[in-house]
Amino acid sequence: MIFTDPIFFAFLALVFGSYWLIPGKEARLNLLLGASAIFYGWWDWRFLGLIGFVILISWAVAGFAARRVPGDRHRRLALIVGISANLAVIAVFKYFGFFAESARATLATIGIDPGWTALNILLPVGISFYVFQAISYIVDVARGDLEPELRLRRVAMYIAFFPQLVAGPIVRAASFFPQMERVKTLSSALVFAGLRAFALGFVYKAGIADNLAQFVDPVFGDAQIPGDTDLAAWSNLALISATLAFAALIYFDFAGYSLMAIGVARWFGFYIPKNFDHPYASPAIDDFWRRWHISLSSWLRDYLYIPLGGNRLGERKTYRNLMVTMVLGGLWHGAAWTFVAWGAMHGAALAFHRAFFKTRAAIGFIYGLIATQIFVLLTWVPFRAESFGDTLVIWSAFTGLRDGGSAEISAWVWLLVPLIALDAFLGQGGLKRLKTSRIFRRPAFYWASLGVLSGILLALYPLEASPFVYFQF
Amino acid sequence: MHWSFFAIAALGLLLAHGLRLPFAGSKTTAIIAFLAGLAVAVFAVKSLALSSGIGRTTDFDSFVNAAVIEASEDYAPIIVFTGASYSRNGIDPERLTIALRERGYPHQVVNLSIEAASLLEREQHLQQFIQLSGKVPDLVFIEVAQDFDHRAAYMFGNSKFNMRAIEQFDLSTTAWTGFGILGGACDGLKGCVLDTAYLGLHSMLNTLNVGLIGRGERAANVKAVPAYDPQTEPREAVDPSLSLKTKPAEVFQGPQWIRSYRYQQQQRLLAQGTRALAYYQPPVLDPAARAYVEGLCEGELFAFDCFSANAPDLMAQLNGGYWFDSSHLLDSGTAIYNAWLVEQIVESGILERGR
Repeated sequence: MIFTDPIFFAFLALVFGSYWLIPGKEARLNLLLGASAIFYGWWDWRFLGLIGFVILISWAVAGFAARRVPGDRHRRLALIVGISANLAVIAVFKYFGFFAESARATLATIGIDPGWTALNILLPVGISFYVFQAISYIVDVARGDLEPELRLRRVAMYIAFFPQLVAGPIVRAASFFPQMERVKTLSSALVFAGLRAFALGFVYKAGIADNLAQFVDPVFGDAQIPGDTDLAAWSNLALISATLAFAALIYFDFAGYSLMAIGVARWFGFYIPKNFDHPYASPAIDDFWRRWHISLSSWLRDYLYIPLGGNRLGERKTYRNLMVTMVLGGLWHGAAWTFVAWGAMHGAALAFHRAFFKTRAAIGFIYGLIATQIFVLLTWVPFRAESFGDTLVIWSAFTGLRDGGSAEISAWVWLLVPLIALDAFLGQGGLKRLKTSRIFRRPAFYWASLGVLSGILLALYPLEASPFVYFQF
Repeated sequence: MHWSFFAIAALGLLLAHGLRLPFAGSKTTAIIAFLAGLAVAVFAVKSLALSSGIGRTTDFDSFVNAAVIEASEDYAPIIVFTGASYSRNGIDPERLTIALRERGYPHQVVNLSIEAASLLEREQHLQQFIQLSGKVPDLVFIEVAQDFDHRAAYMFGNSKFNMRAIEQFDLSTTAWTGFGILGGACDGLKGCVLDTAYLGLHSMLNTLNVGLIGRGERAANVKAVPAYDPQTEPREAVDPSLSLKTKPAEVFQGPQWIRSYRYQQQQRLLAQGTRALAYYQPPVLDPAARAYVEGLCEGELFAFDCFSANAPDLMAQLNGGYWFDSSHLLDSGTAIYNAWLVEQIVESGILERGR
């Protein structure tokens, strides 16, 4: 069940109606918890056991810590156990097969057959997101930044709240727990705020991203079927166009899903911070990372980069910390060396930017924008390609040195550039006077606009929906 | 994908970014304004799609385009075979063309068939073929089958809520299918209720343009793929000796709804310039299904050339490993059937009559 499925709308209507009809904060939390279990179990009910384990371990260690004074050896040990257990979950379900296969391949190159084959473990949906939320909760408690929550239901709601359960944004306990205590009332402001985020997210995801897969998959290959690519058949321009289409797809897909999550959460009276801020308008790579997947990059900053020393230990260690953070950030996206390479390239770019472009004005907005976005575009190649071999072929298409095939994809794909520019322009305050005009708030105009938007979305709605790209992470 | 996708997506972004908390107003105003906005958008998108030739493209468009290419290769008169999966497996246009030319007939045979295609859907694509090729077929061979005559919404038994299912239910197809369901061309009360519900939903999705721009394309831009789908390995074990069993055919007329549709289709095609129509069904193992077509040939379709596969000489030849399953032929079976069919066509005189 994803947010663009018709079944989700039925589910949402039922939960929304019940939520606001039921009086009492606790009963509403129970309802949301039950709904979250149904939402998550819809993929595979066996996943419920895993998320239940993550919730229980996080609640138990934090509860244990609450009974000990800060600095106590047992408290520290319990918290380490909690973090390790969460990391073990993600290590087993997400990375075990990858490392086992990598080790087997390495041994095979020196003539040793270890005699094992990597297990094909089913990757539970959203595991990277909810495990990171659980870890941040335990670390915040360990640091003394957050009072441990003794009520299991609260911890369960924080980790399993269905709007952001499977794909984020990664929410912090410090901002979420107080929201559970507030008594919420249904208001038109709340409904329209949720609708605004959800509608924009729906345009992004169902209207645009899901329709771009038809340009990307034939070239890069179906992500679900390894080895089905035939890059030799495609012209250089087709490879470049498909990379552009992928850059647009991943942005509209993920930003769209995040916006829909924000909108759905809003309808239940919860506030989730934004996850994207028009990253393709960034004139520098550090700025890009302040705008792309904000909840993950801030998580990596707070729970990895800063604990490693951040920028407090001198320039060389700062570069090291950037590299470590980004390589692990790359690995977070997927258990493959191409993701590691993607992270390493971004780490190197951040270090390079820090070393040579200390001020924004150093290169200028336009040149900075072009250089940053070309770099980001090139790094999407290993992110999406099935292998390093494919990556090199596509990169060589960018140089023009490759003898390309004759297969083309529609040249209309290049209209994505003005489309992304329009989105950034509108999202960053463009046409502000027009948008804040009172005429837009007149009921007849508002509802007619919503009617037109609905008509447009129906025409754009993909009958064969594409799965959300970030589910695989 | 068409450029209009980007224009409409841009408009969507503009509207979505512009949504602001509205002032309080009456519910009636809200509903009327919303429906008016929706109607304007639906009408505008439909107009754009029609003027640009955009539709929800399916495999059928690929088959039409392949047929258009074949038809444009020479100036020979065209024979179109249009059917469902029976014909997709059982009509090899290349074999038929060669066999006819060996007998001195210059005709070019094309196959316009796809799985689970009703007569109504096939007619849509036949008209598409005529429009894209600019050629009116000299002869049209129309597959008839019991399954399709007795279930107006046969498509829903195979697939639902996809591009093909939605695209075919325009107002005309919906009306004819509804006529069929009202006349009892459905499977029991439950089946009739379900088919009616699915028909309503698909028709609504078609009217509201669902998926039309997102996945729409001009039919001519779809990659050409020949419809004939030769099979070499059986997909299920069958008893080929069933081919020797025959059931006496009863002379009859098809159900009212399909009879009416066939009549107006005949009038349309003949008015467009098609010289003659013929009916046929490729061989199936079920004796009752064969007898149905034979009865139809001798009854409702007696005025037309009609080639039922209920002929004992043909079915005796197919008593062996020629079956993909009980209703479809392997390529080896198609070779036998097509050779027999050519003889029947030549003997009937349809190739020369009225020229």
